[in-house]
Amino acid sequence: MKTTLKDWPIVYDRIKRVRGFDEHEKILNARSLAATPEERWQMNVTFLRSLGLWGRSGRKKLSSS
Amino acid sequence: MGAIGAEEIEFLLIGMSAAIFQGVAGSTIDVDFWINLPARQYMLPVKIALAQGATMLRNTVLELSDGTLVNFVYAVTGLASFAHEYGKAVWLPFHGLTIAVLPLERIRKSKMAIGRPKDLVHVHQIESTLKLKRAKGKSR
Repeated sequence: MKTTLKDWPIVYDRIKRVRGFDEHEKILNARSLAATPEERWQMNVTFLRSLGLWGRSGRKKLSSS
Repeated sequence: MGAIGAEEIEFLLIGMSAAIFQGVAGSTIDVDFWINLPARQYMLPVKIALAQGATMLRNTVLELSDGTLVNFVYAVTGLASFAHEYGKAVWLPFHGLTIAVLPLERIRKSKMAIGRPKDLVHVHQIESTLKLKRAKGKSR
């Protein structure tokens, strides 16, 4: 079944009984599994941008830490 | 990617970026491409990227105009030949292209072989995703 990010509740429903993951991890993973490859990469970029770690300025932060 | 593909250079997306493409809930600042070229042509993809407006940071590392860091790799620890791995690639859509991506099990194997602390964290993330993918596929 092909899904997109907006379908994450369906995926969550399928994985919610898996042991070894807390609720937060299950939601995080349901979002990643539901997303398209494009959406997954965009989530990665958005996350790094939110920390100021994307692009030239982000590299400077990493190298100075 | 399109420019490299247009030159008929075979490449595989590997590493953590390939894992994220396949649903691993992780993050990475760079994109690693395993390029199938002989040593005498190692600079070819670099030249192509530079022609597209990329900036060269180190020998095989470039920054694209959108801030993406790209690393060209010509050998991967713990894996078989390029041809063997390419034959097992999963093909995923990205930016209007369909690109060859190293499967999660093979990324896991490579990271186990490299074995740096960050690779072992990635192995854990990949194993978690594989477990959840099985559960996702099994239910109903």
